[in-house]
Amino acid sequence: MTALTAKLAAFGLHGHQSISAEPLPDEAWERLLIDVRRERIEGLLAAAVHDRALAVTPAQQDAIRKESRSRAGVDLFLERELLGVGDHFTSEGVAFRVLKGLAWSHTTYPDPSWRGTGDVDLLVATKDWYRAVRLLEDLGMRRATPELRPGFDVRFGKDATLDTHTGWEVDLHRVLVLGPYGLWVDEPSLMAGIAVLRVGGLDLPSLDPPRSFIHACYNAVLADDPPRLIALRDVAQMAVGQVDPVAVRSLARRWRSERVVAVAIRRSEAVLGISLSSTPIGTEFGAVRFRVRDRALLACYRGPERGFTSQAAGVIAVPGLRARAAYLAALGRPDNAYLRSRGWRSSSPLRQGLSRAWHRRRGTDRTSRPERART
Amino acid sequence: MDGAERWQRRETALWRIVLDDVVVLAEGERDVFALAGGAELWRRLERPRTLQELQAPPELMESLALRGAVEPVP
Repeated sequence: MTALTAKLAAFGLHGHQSISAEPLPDEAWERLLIDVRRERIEGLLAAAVHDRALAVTPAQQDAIRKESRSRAGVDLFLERELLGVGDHFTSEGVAFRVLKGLAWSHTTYPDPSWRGTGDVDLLVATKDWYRAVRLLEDLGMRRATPELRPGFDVRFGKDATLDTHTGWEVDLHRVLVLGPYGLWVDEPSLMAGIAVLRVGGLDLPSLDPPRSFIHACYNAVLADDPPRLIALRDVAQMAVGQVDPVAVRSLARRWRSERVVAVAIRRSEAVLGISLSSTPIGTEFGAVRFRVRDRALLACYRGPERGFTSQAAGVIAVPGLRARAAYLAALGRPDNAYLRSRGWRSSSPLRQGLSRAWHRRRGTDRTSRPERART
Repeated sequence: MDGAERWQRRETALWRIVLDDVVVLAEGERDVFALAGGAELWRRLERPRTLQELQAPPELMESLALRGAVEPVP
């Protein structure tokens, strides 16, 4: 990623700012386009060009037009999937919340075209979990991987990905993130704050601004490593908006995620080259102190094995010895159907994952199979 | 009014404005199309929801010099 890409990711946060007064040479332009796709900021590129913050040649303008039309097309197909699922859930009485890109593009950004997305993310309550999965299957979707073990989803699980027959993905969430930070969020307080999202002329339920902001922070700190620029932009976009810092602080304290929020703000500032310290939210979280335990927990969410290490660390958030034993047993000995779906042998994926993480840190890794954490 | 009725009343296309185009995924259509010319033109056409609506009446299309301005989005 170049400094130019970072400036593009920060476009529009602090009024009009020039990114480049001269069109880029071909090589730099091609590199920028690759970065823009990877960081999912095609919409910001189009907006910057439209606002004349980035000068382009006629050929570059055509390339952006093609790119941004494609991006918009994907987002619209995902919105259509969202409307179909929302219709089905509503008529069957399943309460849900729209999460992440599809929600934030409409509720947080000046224009929905600024924020692309890759799938449909929905949250449902634990009591509705299996019913929601069945309703999605009624619509012709198929679960990408089976449950880790019978009952795991509703006790400890984070989400399930379902593939649609049209080639898109619906990510059904029970909690917001893998590992301890996901399990520390109590469901009643998560579902309590509702905001309304308007898509295709209809109102859909989403998380309210404080919950959305903390979710954006989880997405920027506890998901991809390194995070996509659009994830850091989400944090910055909400921080300069109308989010109530006192409400965020109160929820973050309850969910034990004050340090995650503080890290998200600092990382957004550092990578995007902006200052959020004068915003109410930046001021509120500017003096958060870090303990050794926080640093250790956050480290579990970094590196290629973070999918395993963060889940293993989740045991500290499981209440009760019996439940902890059940959690570790499930991670250590998943069902064969689950193992087969992931292409693994019938030995403990937890042990394999931790072993790979250990060898990687010691520089003695032999397998080198990256695992992408999903949130 | 129950949930199903509320949803059945939906009568709108999904759309984005990008640069000076309107990109539309219309109800009942399998493909996305882009209307070169932008938001203002689209509003004057009363937000067409399908390609058929957009392409008729021909007099309107002609008067707005829209022929050839509807493009599929790959």
